Amino acid sequence: MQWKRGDQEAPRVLLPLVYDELRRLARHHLRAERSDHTLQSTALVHEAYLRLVKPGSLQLESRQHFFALASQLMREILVDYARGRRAAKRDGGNRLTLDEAAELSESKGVDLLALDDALNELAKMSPRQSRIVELKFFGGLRIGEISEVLGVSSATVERDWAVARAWLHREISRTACDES
Amino acid sequence: MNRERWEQVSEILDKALRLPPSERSVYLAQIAASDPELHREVNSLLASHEQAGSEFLNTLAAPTGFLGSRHPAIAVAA
Repeated sequence: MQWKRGDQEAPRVLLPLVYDELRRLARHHLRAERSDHTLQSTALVHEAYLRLVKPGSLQLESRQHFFALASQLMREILVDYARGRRAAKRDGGNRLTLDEAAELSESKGVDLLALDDALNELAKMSPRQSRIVELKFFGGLRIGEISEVLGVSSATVERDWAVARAWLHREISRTACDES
Repeated sequence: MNRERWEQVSEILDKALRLPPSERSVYLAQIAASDPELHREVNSLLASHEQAGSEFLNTLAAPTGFLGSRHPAIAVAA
C-alpha cells in the first residue's frame, strides 16, 4: 500500500479498508481470546496498522493520518457494538450466541454510548479537545504522539486532556443520574 | 456553552489545577468576585476532576512504547 506525503485522497480511499480490517481483527481477537478479558482497542489499532502498511512505506504525515483515522474508526466500531448490545438486551437478551459487544464495550465501567454523546457535545465547544480524547482513549496514542498528529504542543494536549476529562466525567455522571 | 465561554472556562480551570491549594482558593475568590457564574462552573469542574481520579478514561491507554517510531514498520522516513 502506498500512502505518500501530500496525498490528500488517501485517507478517504483507505477508510473502508481500515474499517473492515479493524472489524475483522476485533472478531478474530474475540474468538481467539475469549478467556482473556484484557483485549484492548489499542491493540487492534496497532495490529491493523501493521497489517495495512508495508514496512517503511509510510512517511510521517501519513503515519499521523493513520492513527487519527484508526482512532476515529475504533470509536465508531466500539460504539456500534455497545449500541447493538443495548438493543439486544431490550429484545430479551438471550438470542445472541456470540456477544462480541460484551467484551469490547465494557471498558472498565465507562458507558461508551454516554461517552460518545458527550464527545459530540464537547466537539461543539472544542473540536480539538474532543479529538484529543478520541486519539488518547480510543486510539491509545500518547501525549507526544497526539501533539504530532494535531500539530500543537504537548503542554496544550496535556491541558486539553485534563480539562476535557473533568468535563466528560461531569457530563457522563449527569446522564447516569438522569437515567436512573 | 458557546466556544468562547468554554475557552475561558478551560483556561481558568487549567490555571486553577496548576496552583497549590492555598493559591488556588485565592485565585478562585478573585474569579468569584468578577464573574460568579464562571466561578460556579470552574468549581463544579474541579469537583469532577477530583471524582474522575486517575482511572477515568485512562484504562484503555496503550502500554508505553506500544505505538510510535520504535516499530520498524512505523519508522519515520528521513
